[in-house]
Formats: sequence, C-alpha cells, structure tokens
Amino acid sequence: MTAAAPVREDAATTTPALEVRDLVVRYGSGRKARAAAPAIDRVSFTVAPGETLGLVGESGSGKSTIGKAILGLQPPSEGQVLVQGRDITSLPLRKRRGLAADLRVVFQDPYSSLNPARTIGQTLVEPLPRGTADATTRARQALESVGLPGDAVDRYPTQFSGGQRQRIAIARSLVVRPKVIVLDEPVSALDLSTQAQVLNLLADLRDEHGLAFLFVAHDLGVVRFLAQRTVVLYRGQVMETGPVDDVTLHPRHPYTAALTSAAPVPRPAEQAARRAAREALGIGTAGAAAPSPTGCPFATRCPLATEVCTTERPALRQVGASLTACHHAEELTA
Amino acid sequence: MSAPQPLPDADLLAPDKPATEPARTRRVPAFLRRPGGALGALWLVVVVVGSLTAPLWVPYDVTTQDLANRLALPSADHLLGTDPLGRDLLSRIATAGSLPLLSSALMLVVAFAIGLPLALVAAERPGRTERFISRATEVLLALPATVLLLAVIGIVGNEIPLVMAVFGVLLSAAVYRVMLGVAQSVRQRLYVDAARVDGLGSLRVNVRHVLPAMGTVIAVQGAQLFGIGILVVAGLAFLGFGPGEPAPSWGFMINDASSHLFDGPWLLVPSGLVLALTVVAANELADALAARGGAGAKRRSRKQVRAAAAAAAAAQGESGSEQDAVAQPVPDDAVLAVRDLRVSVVGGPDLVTGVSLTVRRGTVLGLVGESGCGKSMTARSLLGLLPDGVAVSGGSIIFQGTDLVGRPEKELRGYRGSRIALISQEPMVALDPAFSIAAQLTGPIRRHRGVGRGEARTIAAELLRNVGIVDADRILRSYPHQLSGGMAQRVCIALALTGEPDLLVADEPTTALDVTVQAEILSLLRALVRDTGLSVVLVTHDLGVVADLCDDVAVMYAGEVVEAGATAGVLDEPRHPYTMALLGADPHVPDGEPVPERLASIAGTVPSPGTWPEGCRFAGRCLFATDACRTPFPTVPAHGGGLVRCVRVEDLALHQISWTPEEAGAETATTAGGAR
Amino acid sequence: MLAFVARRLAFAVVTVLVAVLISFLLVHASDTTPGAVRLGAGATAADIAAENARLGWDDPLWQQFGRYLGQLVHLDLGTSLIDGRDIESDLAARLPVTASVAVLATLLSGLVGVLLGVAAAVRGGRFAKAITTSSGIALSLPQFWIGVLLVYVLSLQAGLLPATGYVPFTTNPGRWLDSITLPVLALTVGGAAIVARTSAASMREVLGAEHIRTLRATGTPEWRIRYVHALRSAAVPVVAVLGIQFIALFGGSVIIENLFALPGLGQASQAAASSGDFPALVGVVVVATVVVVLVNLLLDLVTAALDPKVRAA
Repeated sequence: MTAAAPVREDAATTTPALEVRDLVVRYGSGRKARAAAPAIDRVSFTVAPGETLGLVGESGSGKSTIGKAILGLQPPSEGQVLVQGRDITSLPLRKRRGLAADLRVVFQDPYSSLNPARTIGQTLVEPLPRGTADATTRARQALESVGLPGDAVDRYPTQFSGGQRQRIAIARSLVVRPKVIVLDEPVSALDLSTQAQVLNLLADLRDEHGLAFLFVAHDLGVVRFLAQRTVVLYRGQVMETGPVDDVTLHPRHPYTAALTSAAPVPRPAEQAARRAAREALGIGTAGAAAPSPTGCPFATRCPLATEVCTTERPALRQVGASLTACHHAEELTA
Repeated sequence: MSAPQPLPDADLLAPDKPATEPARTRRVPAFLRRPGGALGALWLVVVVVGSLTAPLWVPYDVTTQDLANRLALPSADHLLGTDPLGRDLLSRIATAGSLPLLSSALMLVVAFAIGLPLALVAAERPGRTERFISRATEVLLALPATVLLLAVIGIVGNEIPLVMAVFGVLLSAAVYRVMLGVAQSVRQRLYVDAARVDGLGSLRVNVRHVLPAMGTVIAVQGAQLFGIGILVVAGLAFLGFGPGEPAPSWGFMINDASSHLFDGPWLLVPSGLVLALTVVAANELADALAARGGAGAKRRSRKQVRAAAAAAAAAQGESGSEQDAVAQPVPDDAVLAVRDLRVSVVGGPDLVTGVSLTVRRGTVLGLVGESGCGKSMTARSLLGLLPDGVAVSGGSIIFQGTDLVGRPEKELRGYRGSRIALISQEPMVALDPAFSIAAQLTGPIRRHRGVGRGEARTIAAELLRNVGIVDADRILRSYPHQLSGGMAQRVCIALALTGEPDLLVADEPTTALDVTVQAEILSLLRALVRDTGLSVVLVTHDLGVVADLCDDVAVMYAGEVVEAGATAGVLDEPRHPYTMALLGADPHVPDGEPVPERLASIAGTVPSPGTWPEGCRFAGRCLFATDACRTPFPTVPAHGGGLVRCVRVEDLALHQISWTPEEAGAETATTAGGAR
Repeated sequence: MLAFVARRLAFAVVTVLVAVLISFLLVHASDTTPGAVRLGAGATAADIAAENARLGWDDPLWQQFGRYLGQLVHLDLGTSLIDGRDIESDLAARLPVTASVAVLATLLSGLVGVLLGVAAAVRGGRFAKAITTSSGIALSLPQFWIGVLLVYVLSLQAGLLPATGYVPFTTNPGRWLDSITLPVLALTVGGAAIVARTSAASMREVLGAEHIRTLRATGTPEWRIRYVHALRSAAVPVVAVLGIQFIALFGGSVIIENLFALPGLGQASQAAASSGDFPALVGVVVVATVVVVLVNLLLDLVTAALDPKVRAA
C-alpha cells in the first residue's frame, strides 16, 4: 500500500484524529484486581486524519477493550484518550454528545446492534441533538451514502439481511459526520461475500470522506486490506506496530510471525509452504502456561525466549520499518 | 473479549436469519391468538368489571338473609344458590371480588415500583452497587413471608390492602431477581452500547432501549404474581383475616363450606371455582405472553418425521437418479459415497438436493460454502443426526458398502462413535459440563473397546497425549469449564477417536478458535490422517482451511454442489463463477501478491430453501447469467474426477472470463442499494 | 469449599438478625402494648403502664433488642403474654408437625413432578401438552380448596382417612401417617405441578443442547443420554424449585394446619397474630427464618454437588 508513507508524514505535523496515550484498563476493583495483570497495559498509538489503523489480536488480547475505553464504555484506569487533540478520557458519555460527535462506532454483530423495536429512522437520528430540523433528511442521506435506499428509514431492522444491517450500522455512525470511527470487528459476523461488500464500502468511505478508522479485528488478512498501519496486541500489550505491509510480510516480533503464518491462504501450494514455515518456527501451544508478570507476555510460547525475556519487559523500539517489543527481534529478521 | 464469531451454518430455513422479535404493526396481539391467553384475558375482564360494578347489578344485598332457603342449590331466584344463612351466593361472590383484585393490584404496583428500578440500576452498575442490592434482596427473599404477614396482621389488624402492600415489598425481591437477569441480558445487546455512545442519558437509555425489551417478561411476571396475590388474600380470609362477617370474602366462603360439607357440599363449588378460575386465567395469560416471547418454528410430530424417513427409504428403492447423470460408480478406495442426497424439512422445502460426494480412504474432503448453503445439513445427515423436523428424503449414503439411509436408529447408533465420529463447531459447549473429562472419555472407551475402568483410563490418557495434550492426567481430572477453547477441541477430537472410527465428520472444527489455535488443530488433524489412515469430511466456510487440509473439495451453494474436485484444481483454477467470486472476495492473498484495491463481491443474498429458481440457483446473482441458465442442465465433468454445475463453463473458459473485483466507489453509489 | 460454606453461614446469621429486627420494629410500631395484651380488656391504664414497665417496654429500643438477642443466643424466646408458657418449648413441640408435613409434601412433589416432567419432555406431543395444561390448572388451585375437596371425597364420602386431628409419630406411626396424608396430598397437588413444569422445560432444553449431540455422535445409548447425562444437568433448576417449594410449603402451613387442625407452627402463628401475643409472633418468625436459611444452605450444597462450575466459584 503506497498510501502509507505520506499519511505518516502528515501525522507528524497535524493533530491526530485519535490519540491514545499509555492506556491502562483494569477490570474489577479492590486489592485483587490491582495485583492482577491489567487487561490493557500501557498501550499508545495515534490515528491520523484519513488513516486506518488496524488493531489486531486474538481473543484475550484486549483489542475490544481498547475500543470500549476510547468510546467511554469502559473507564480507563490510567492514560489518556484524545480526539482531535481534545482530552476526552474522563468525559462522561452524556457530555460527549455534540462536543465529541466526532467519535463514532460500528459494532461486530449487526443483529444485536440495532434495536428491533425501533425503525431505522428512529435509530439513525438518535445521535443528533434533539430538535435537529433536517434530522430525517440527514438519516436518508446517510443511508444513501452506504448504498441503501433512503426510504428504508420507515422500516424495521428485521426486514434487512445481515449485510444490509451492517450498512445501516455504518450509516448510523455517519449521520453526525464524524472524524473518527471505531470499527469493532465489523465484518467478522458476516459471510465471505457479504464481508467483501462491507469491506469495499468501508474502503470507499475512507477514500471519499477522509475518515479516520480504528479497525479492530482478529483477522490480519482483513486488516491488511483496509488499514495502512497496524498495532499487534498480545495479552493487553503492544507487541509490534508499523506499516501494515511491513508488519505482515516482514514480522519482527515472534508473536506477529506466529499470527501471520497461522492465517491460511486459499492457495494449496502457497499454503503448504506457509505451513512448513510455521511449523519450523516452533511456536508453543497457546495457553500453555501463564507468563511471568515482569517479563514479556509471550515468553512462555516463544522459541527465541531466553532468561532476560522472563525478567524484563521489552520496550518498543525501532527495528526496520516497525516498532517492536522484543529483546530478540534481530534474530527473527536474520 | 470478542472472539471471532462468524455466523454458524445451523440456520435451517433462512440464510439471513430474521430476528425473532415481532414487528410492531399487528392488530391482534399474538398472545390473544392462543386460546388460553384469549380465554384468560376474557375471564379476567369479566371478573374485574363484574366485581367493581357489583353494587350496581347484584340481585340481592349481601346481608339479606333468606333463612327458608338455606344452603340452596342454584335456582332461578339464586343463580348460584345460597349460603348457610340463606344469602345469595352470586351477590356475595361478585361483591367480594373487588378486595382481592384491588389489593393484589396494589401489591403488584408496590413490588414492581421497588423491584424494577432497583434491577435497572443494578444492571447499569455492576460491581459494588449491584452486589449490595443483590445481597439486600437475598435477605428479603429468605424471610418467611406468610409468617411475617401474620405478624403484620397481628399488629395492624385486618387491613388487607396494607398487608398486601407489605407483601408487595417482600415480593419486590423476587421481582428484582427476575428483572435483574433480564435487564443484564438486554444490556449485553450492542444497541444499548450504541445508544450510550450516541450520548443518550441513563434514563433515556433505560426507558427507550432496556425497558421495552423487558416488556414481555414484566407482563408474564405480573400476571403470575397477580394470581399469587389473589391466592394469598383468599388464604388470609380463609383464616379469618379478612373483612369480618357479614361482609363477604372468597376465602371465608370456602371456610364456611368446609364446615358444611355434610349438609351443603355445593357451597364449595361457586366460590372455589371463581377463585380458581381467576388464578388459572392469570397464569394462562402469563403462559400465553411467555409463548409469544419465544415464538419459534413449529415442532413437527414424530409421526411426520417417521413418515418422511419411510418415504426416503422407499424413494431410495427406486433410486432413479434425478437431473444429474452422475450415477457415478463407487470407487474401490471409497470409505464414503454419497449419491444424490436430498435432505428436507418434513412437510416443507428441500434443504439439500442432488448432493454426491466421495471420500477416499485416508483423505480429507472439504465441504465449503456460506451460511445456509446446506453443508452442515449434509454433514449431519452422514451420522443420522439431523435436527428435529429435518430428514433425509432421498438418495443414498454408502458407508463401507452399506447404505445408511433409512436404517433404523438402533442400527445407526452402532455406527456412531465406533465407525463414524463427529467433532463440532463449539468445543466449549460440546462437552457435558457436569462430568469430568475422564468420565466423558472412559464411558465411550469402555463401550467401544470392551475394557475395564482402569484400562479405559490408561487409554484415555494415551488418547489425550495423541492429540497433543502434554499434562494428560491433569486434563483428565478437569471439568470442561476449566479448559480453553483449543484444549476443549483437542479433548473433543480425543473423544471422537475413542471408538477408532474410519470416518471423522468435522463440522467447522476451528471456526470458534483463534487463528494460532486453529493452525495447531489443523496440524493435529493432518497428522491423524497421515498416521492412522482416518478419512475426514471437513465442513468449513474458510477457503484457507480447505487449502491447508483438504485433498478434495466440494463447493456448495443453495443446497447443491456447484463445483467439486481435487483441491488444487478447484482453488487454483476455479471454473464455476460462484467459486471464482468467493476466491475474489477473500482478502487473504499469498505473501508475494499485492492486496487488491477492492474485493470481488456478489450482489444480493442466497435464496432461501423453497425459493430456489429453476435451473442454476446462482443465476440471479451471477455476473455472467444468460437465458440458458434458467432451465435445468446437466453437470459437466471437471478437475479430473470432479464436476462443475455451470451451463456456460466452456464459454467462460474459452473467453477467459473471470469474476472481477468491484470498482472503487461502487458501494457508495445510491443506485446499488436497491439490488442489495 | 469451606470458604463457600462459611460465607453462606455468615449470610444466614445476617438474615436471621434482619428477621428479628424487622419483627421487633413491627411490634414496636403497633399501638397496643404488651401490658395491655397481657392484662386483657378490663385493665386500667395505670396497671398497664406498670406492667409495661415491668416487661421493660419503656427501655430504649436498642436495649430491648440487645436483651432479646442475648436471650436468643441461649435459645430463650421468652414467655407468652397470653398464658405464660415457654415459647421455645412450645415451638419445639410444634416444629416436627409442620416439618414432617412439609418434608413429605416436598419429597412427594419432587417424585411425582420429576416423573411427569421428564416423561413429558421425552415423549413430547399430545402427552406433553396434557401435562402442561393439567399442571397449569393444578398450580392455580388454592391449597385450602383442594384440602376441603379431599376431605369431602376421601374422608366424608369414602371414609378412608380422618378428616382432622394429629397423632404423634411416637404414639402410633400408622395413625400418624393417616393423620398427615390428607394435608400432604393437599400440598402436593400444586407442588408436583410446579416441579413437573420446571423439569419438563429444563429437560427439554438440555436434550437440545450441543453436548447431548456429542453423546449421540459417540453412539451412547439413549437411556444413558436421558437419565444419566441430561437428567443431571436438568436437575439444577429442579432442585432450586424444590427448595423454594419447601420454603413455601413450610410458610404456607398456616392454612393447612388450620384446616386439618394440626398443632404446628402455622397454628401457633395464627393464634399469636389474632391475640397480639408479641413474643410468640417474634418467636415464630425466628424459627421460620432459621429453617428457611438452613434449607437454602442445603440447596446451595446440593447445587454445588450437581454443577462443577458452582463448586469452582
């Protein structure tokens, strides 16, 4: 993706659309919760205007929790969330209305994200300030911008298929003309052909409106299609971050290597080679043992792990085009 | 945490499952369409109106005695007879009704006024607030209600409405409990989160999104508690804690009856019947309301299922192969040969038609397609484990020379586990939560291999080690909820291997797992096939998984196989437009290739069973469809021993036509909307 | 496991304390006083005041409460205002009557209910519908009405069983059984109906579960699937309902004891409520709460035995 480089240069000079600084999220309260490893542990990243950042990880990586923390659905324990340079970390949800209509979300499950008892129109105008004069017109425009007929405003969600519902959910986020949209696994509940439609739609919207997307996903292939940069998470920590092609094609972190090599491609010969490469890598079984709290979270599964990995948490550092949190990143590249 | 959750393929009838919530635009509420609900509602209306207006219409004053007519049976003068003092029973019963009805209503209002807001608050604030409220209500729930009510009566006297209000306070704990559960589950729904992100305040989120979704449960609970309230008021009156003589009460009338069982047993009937009917009516109404909430597909009777099975067996006798001339011979090395399989909803549409598959010994056949294409139904029919109301209605399933279609259940059971085994999509729910892993493994091992308890445990540990579990002894002692998804799937595979089967049916075995775990499970299956000569039918929606594991593949669409053959042939040189489109829609590209700007997509949705068009079922969505596609046509041999179900296949190959990706901007064009 | 039991016990103590406090406050909210109850209608205001002072009624509330708790620890529930009898020994004599009726009714409800419910779930069709409909009616019928009907049919018409009265087990086991059969039956009709509904629904749900399909796929015999695997999972909600049933039957004993003239706790609370015998009322509340709390504790343990997830939590 050639678009990646210029966007990053822009990011250095302009205010990021979304910035997350040293985010920490702990679940629960009390002594026990404070002693346990946090669900999100010092995560930082920025998304430039018009850029799509992929947030990738497996279940338990905390990718959805980050989305929730940004949206205010899960209060962060430490750190800051900035939208267009404005700190909204402790802004209660109700106050965000209007002020930060810039930040919107599309959820994973299009069946549960639309209230079945309300018409599409009622749902779409909900984020608009009460008494917005052209509310219905704007709802129709939003529907049309996602390829649905405007008269869908009078219908109920049950009358639409999964793919159409996800379009409606996207229209709902567009109705206030936002700057940043958090896409929380927006295509993982969809079939392949529907997924392709929604991905194309998101790509079109990104290109046409200059929207910034935080694209939360478990599938690197999907992220590679839509995002320019990506952040790879494991157990609440950033393992590697950088331009998406660099991260997926030349992973510097053993976990990223495990993740990319595990995703199968639909070409038998190619896939056989990938499988051989993956098996040669020697990644340990998932969930074999709990990692030490002081070291690298991946150390218990990592073929490169040495003593230092269990005692010292590696900091993110520049290796090639990406930032990598691994003591042995150079060995993998070699 | 959001685990990957693609749609399961279990949706029977609709590929795009419509939600169960009813649309709002209905004239007659659904619960009134059930006889119980309608009658219940009618009776309650009669009783309420009758009691509240009693002073206006009752024929006698409640205190008018007619000592000449004591304990009379019904007559024209006294429609329901008279009591021991000759008072008119109809008048007394009607007049007595308002107290239990009104005080139960008061009880309901109190119980919900306390319980419901507490539940909403607790659901909104999990953690300390919820724990505190829950503990407090638990205490309330543990108090002996009846005795406490008697204590209240002992202190305030026979003030029934007040006593029932106190009962309402006690009941609020029960209301809270039920409502909390519902409110919590409603709050799980993403539209509540979406509304919060929209900036709606807590009150409006609750009123607009949470409460409406709880309506049915509130109504059900309300109707049930109302019945209980009536019973309690009557019970208290029976004990003498009610309006004192000569004022009438339902409960005391029954008490009266119990002392006149010798001389006037009829007395028991009118009062008891009205009381019982009122409570029955409330409960029937509750049932009808609850049924509306869970309205689903009608279950078909066993008779119908049996009839369908018999029909299938008969049809198989004639076995006239349908439209396809693929009465392929069964190859010698075939473990399984499915020929012209048809699976249908009993008395309903076909779900799968004309499916023919061959699985060679020691190979893996992939069955791939999107939701609702019939791949899971096909796989489940191999074990005779179709859902209720679905049955094989034609064709044959020849497993090691024996046709399994139409075999009695008992005979099929002999195959399951020992010769054909299953691993399923959701390893976390596929194991019995109440039994240890050891118990679940040793049972089938003892049954299939006829060994003792001790030896079975040894074999179980060995099987676990064979599926890559290092600390087998610890896992044996564990319960399913203590395992991770990947570990649970390994246990499921070990369970499937207990009977040393020849064929393994794997229904989306890695769909619910993380991608690194998926890779491990796929490697495990590959090693099993290589080392034991096992044959596998693998159901999946992921073309990458097919490429990784399968020797042969059959691509399904709308209940039939559209393309089949060796995996390399089908995936590298797809010939059916649907296969081409699927491959073009897959964003996973090999490392050397660039990621496309846009993906290929298929307009529209899969047609539901029963609405399949004549001819090619994909024609309505195909970029290359012509008139020739709308009439039936035979399949074309392809990919060596495979086939392709496309009338234009030669044409497309000749002109090197392929399914191209979309143009940028196509998705935001308004005109595209109508078609989708 | 020990921590679990300890937690439940602590909760039980709190519940009993709350019950005592509530009934205590209720008593003090009343506009009659123990002196007035004790001395009867003819007493002068001065006599009543003196009697109240003697009973400690004028002391600060918290002192009286503390005194009562102090007695409670020594299992002393005080004396009746009406006839001066020892409340704890009176209730101790009544407890077995109520308990035996409630226990037998619960067991019988469980047995009949589970049999009917499981049969309905397994057989389905018209049979299940019949069970649902008849249990819907049965659970709506007032117990006392069923009781009167049973007396009329089995006692007055058929002459099989005594209509009222109680014979202690120690006096004559056979006649004890006769004397409690009708009350137990009257309570069982509704109880069995509720259990049948719950077990049918629970069993139906479990039989459709994924792990049952796994069992079918391993060729497990159908009887084993139903009665070893499904029934065990289905039992959890049924046990909960049985516990609630017992508590309801225990508390609801008032009416049945009145109807059948059984000298149980219910009768005592009815008498105390009608005469304003405060110490007796509070005593009954305490005993009933303790029973409820103990049954809940037992329920938790049974549930934990059935469900490994509960055990772990």
